Amino acid sequence: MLRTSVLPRQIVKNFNFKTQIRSLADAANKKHDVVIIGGGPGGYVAAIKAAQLGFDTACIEKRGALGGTCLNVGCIPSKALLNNSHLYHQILHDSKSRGIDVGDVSLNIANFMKAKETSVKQLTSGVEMLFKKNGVKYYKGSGSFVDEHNIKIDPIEGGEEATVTADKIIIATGSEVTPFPGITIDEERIVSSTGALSLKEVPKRLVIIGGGIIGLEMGSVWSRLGSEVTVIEFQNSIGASMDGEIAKTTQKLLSKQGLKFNLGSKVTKGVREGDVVKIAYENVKTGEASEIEADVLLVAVGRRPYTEGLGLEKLELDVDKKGRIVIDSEFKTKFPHIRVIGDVTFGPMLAHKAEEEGIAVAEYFKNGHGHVNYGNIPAVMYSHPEVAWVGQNEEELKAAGIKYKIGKFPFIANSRAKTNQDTDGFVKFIADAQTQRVLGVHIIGPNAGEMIAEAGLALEYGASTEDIGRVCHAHPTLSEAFKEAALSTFGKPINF
Amino acid sequence: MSPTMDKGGVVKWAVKEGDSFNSGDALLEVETDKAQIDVDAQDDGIMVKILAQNGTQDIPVGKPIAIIAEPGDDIASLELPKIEEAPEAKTAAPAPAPAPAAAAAPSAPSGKSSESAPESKQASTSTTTSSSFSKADSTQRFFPSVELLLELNSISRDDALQKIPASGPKGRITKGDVLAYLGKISQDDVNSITSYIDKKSKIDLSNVELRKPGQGKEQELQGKAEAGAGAEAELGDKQQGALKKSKPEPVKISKTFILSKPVSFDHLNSIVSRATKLSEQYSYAAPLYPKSDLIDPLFEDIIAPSSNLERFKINVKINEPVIVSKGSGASLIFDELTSIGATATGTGSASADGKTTALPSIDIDLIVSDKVVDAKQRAELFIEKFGELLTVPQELEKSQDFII
Repeated sequence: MLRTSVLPRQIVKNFNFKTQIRSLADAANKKHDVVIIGGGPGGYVAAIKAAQLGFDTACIEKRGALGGTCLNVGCIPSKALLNNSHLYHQILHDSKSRGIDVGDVSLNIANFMKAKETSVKQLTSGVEMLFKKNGVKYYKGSGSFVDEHNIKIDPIEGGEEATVTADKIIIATGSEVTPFPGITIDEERIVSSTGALSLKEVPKRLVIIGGGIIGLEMGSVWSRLGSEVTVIEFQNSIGASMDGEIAKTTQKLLSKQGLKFNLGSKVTKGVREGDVVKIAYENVKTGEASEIEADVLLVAVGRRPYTEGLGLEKLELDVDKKGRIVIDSEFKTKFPHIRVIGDVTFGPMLAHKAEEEGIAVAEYFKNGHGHVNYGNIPAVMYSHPEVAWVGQNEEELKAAGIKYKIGKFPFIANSRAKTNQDTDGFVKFIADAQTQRVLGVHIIGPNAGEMIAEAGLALEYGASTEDIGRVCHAHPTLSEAFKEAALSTFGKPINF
Repeated sequence: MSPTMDKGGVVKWAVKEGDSFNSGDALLEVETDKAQIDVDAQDDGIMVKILAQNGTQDIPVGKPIAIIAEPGDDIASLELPKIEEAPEAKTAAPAPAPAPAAAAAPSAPSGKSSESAPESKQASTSTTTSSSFSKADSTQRFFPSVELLLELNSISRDDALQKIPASGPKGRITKGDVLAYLGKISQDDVNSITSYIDKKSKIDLSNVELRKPGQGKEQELQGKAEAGAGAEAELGDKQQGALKKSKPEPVKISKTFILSKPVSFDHLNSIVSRATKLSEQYSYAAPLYPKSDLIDPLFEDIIAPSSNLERFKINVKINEPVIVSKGSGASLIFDELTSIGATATGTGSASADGKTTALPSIDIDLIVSDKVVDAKQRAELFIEKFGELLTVPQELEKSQDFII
């Protein structure tokens, strides 16, 4: 990838020279104020915002559809599968206790996938429409730097060949699946998250390498549809940066749903033999080796920055050891007019983080000021129950030596959760022991992903737990659990 | 543990002094005012010293009960902190629990009392904070908590806006600000938490390690393996190919071994090829870390570059007999007969009486890979072992696992 394009200096020069000659002759040399490379959540949001701020804006995207990984092969399709598989699972196992007798229930996997594709299609073309509405020029093709102001566009089908000259440039090329060394992904039997979103049948046995959010979400989908799911994770806990207590509870609840966990295990082999994948792993502590067979193996060990074909080396832009483009606190590279946002640079790889950065950079271009509060970026896992958190977790605060207090409230004591017959989980507040300022909120439970927004608001305004406790929350709602957890941090809850 | 707890007892330790433990292992059972709780390790570490033995009762919160060290620390060389200097019992940290091994900073060679670390950190941050305060925004609507506190203490809105420094975002007065103004908590507490929140609100761009030009993905993969992300030891063909692709200036280690007596070429050839193989095996397999109970070979294995990565290329050349004279500086082999120069560092002479003799010699050139961190170290091990094997050729016969 990057490495192969480290050309000897002379060749680079020649190449530049030729391209310039040609682009002079080329009629398709367009000028724009702002050009964004990448039309994912970071790039498209930045493009719309820049256009709204009055810039002549263009966005280059080579996927053929806007929305990036998130809309096409990430957050959006996985949520379609998660929601519908949850419905299916509920109808199948949970309707009797609610007094609903259902007849034969069966899964139509083709239509199941079609429902997902319809949602994706609607959303991605929705973004294209937003581009038109806001006057953003959309180039279909892959962009690569000719020099620090010129970008050559290699068109895909339906695109036009062009070289664009830009006053300001935003790199928003995102990330790609990190391959697992020694395991070849064929997206059929050995799949990445992309392949796991469009399996043609429900695998009898699904093995997942990686107990992070992607692995657990996909594990949930296929487990609900009938797969026997085994998660192999190198660390001793699941859920990556989750609060430790929440991670343990999550594991307990997912185990109850039938997912199997092999933690502290290092995968040593993963080969496809016909229609079976053979996986070998060993216990990190004891070295004890085990083998397991699967019909599908999902490799979900993370994502890495994507800069292939971008021509970074021509500009001699710095990347760090993980391939992230190096920026300063205002997203600037060494060329102040080239800024970088989203997965391809530092910070958590989350769509909403990229969006915030996209807005901030557009505002920097316009006003010289933009703002992202990195201490207040929520994360959500859409398992059932959902897991959501924002701010600091216990482990981080312990490491920083901050004295804190905890307030918890279980959903089993919440009226709405009770009536929904959905009472697993709790809300956990972490507040500074002295000032009572909210430092972090961690929720595992029904609707956690929606509820976490209130915590974000509290953090943004510097609220104390008492301030949340004194806000009227509707009854009966799940959000009362949120209020009660805040109350119990320094005082006593009412309903528990 | 309970926020109201002010003392507790140690029921039973699950680890002994000198034991190493992993994150999540139960360390001890603690007795609080309400219940007995297992305390799990927050991080990997080693139990250096237990200060509160099984059954100790009424230990005030904040008093250290044990000293733990980072994995890999050499216990014997650690200077134990003076316990008397530990903070008084006022800390609310979840207490007799030997909070994280993480408390001992990785860079610090000495172990720390686990409870004293947070204290000291806090003290150091509290001095640097006043910048994050601003004058209260006079248009703000007060937080409900703030409004109530002001009411209870008969402070007018104007007074509050004038006199209370605001630590909240955009000049917002927080509950903590009022508590500090009223003297119910210390201003330092407000300062330290405000500066911590400020720090966390910015993206962490410290310690950016740049990828050097020419470094490819394999570097990244190695980095992953080191970070323990579960990356596999085996590197695919692609990476192997990549290793050969970019060639800066290769590091070369050369050494000439001169024999102390003439040997037939065929015999020498077979010895040299055996010695080469054995030395290669040895140099790739030999542990580079000192042997110690504190070092977990499995862990070292995980963080080390894969053993099947090529460290160096070996070129061996057997030369025609050359004339050497005394003090040539090259190494000797087969010296066991004359019992000089037993090590391969060789400054001895070719023949004991100083006469010049025609002797065969062996040139070894190792082209060291610049892609693998321990390549040079392993190459040096190779040379060392090679010399050793030639000096004591019986060693060569002994190894059964090797067949030409």
